[in-house]
Amino acid sequence: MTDFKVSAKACDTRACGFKCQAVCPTGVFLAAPRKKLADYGIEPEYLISPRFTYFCNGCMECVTICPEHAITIKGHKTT
Amino acid sequence: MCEFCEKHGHGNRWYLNPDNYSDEMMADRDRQKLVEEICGYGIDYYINFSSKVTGLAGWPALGTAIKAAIKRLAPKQHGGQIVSLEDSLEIISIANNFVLLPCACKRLVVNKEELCCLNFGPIRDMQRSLLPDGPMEEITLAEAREYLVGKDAEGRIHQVLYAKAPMPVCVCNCDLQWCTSFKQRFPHNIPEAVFKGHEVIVVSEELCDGCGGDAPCVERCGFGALAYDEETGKVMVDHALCFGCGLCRVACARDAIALLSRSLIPVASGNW
Repeated sequence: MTDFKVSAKACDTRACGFKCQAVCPTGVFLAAPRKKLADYGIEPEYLISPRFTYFCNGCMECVTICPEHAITIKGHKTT
Repeated sequence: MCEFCEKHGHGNRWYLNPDNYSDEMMADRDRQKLVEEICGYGIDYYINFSSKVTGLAGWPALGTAIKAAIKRLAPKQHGGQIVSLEDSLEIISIANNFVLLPCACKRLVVNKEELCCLNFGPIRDMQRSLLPDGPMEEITLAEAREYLVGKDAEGRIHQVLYAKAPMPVCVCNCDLQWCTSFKQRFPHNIPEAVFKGHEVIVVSEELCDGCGGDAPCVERCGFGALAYDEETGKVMVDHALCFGCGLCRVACARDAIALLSRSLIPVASGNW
């Protein structure tokens, strides 16, 4: 079994429109609202957060598609 | 019988007790606040926060303490349980004010909008006041029935969600690719994220012929509970993994799969 660590720094969601989410077959990325607004009727700003890395299968699609080269995946073998 | 049924079921399953749907439930201040929080864009913050908390349960030192805290606090929050199609149809026959809302999980995880979250009760009015121009579709009971049956055939898992147990507020039609409930449950095995259903499946040895090794039910199961046994040429069930959604029944051409109460199977009994 291989364990992956996905990190998304220097991510600009407004420029690319969540391309990594569209290609991820297992749904690793969560669009996390940036900061809490008092009014739930206003759409917040989102940042990509690789929250569910447990499900990552290491297909590397997100790394190739990211225009900002913001995503890195580190895999290391666990028994 | 699960913990919620013992407390709130009055001898029945908690989501089938009509008392839990009454307007009096909304007199609770904490519940009012929670309903406001899970409507509009509030659910985005909610999912973000809860997935952060459940992620912490993997910490080596504090994991056990965090799991204990989640177990204690989860019934006061927004959570759910898997239901079969039959149960979900019974739920909507008790509820009223149906409205289809976009699934927040799908929007946040795969960035697609689909009106697949069947909400009822206080949610409609709250959503109207928070997002008056937002996407929503009001439907009748007959349409809601048809909708659930259609989604079941598509292979969507039904989950009944409560807003502070025991008030059910929604039946969602999930897919494992984006459902954040399952994403929170599996990594650290947190049953409070989404409880297993009241039933498990059994495969009739007489009727099952393994479809000649094809076994479409095995593919349909998202939990890996079914496996094709080459020696006997039949499909075997791992009851410890079965969530009781009953979707494999749709894939079965010979009607060999049926739902049976969880308490009757020793491996599955008490395994929520």
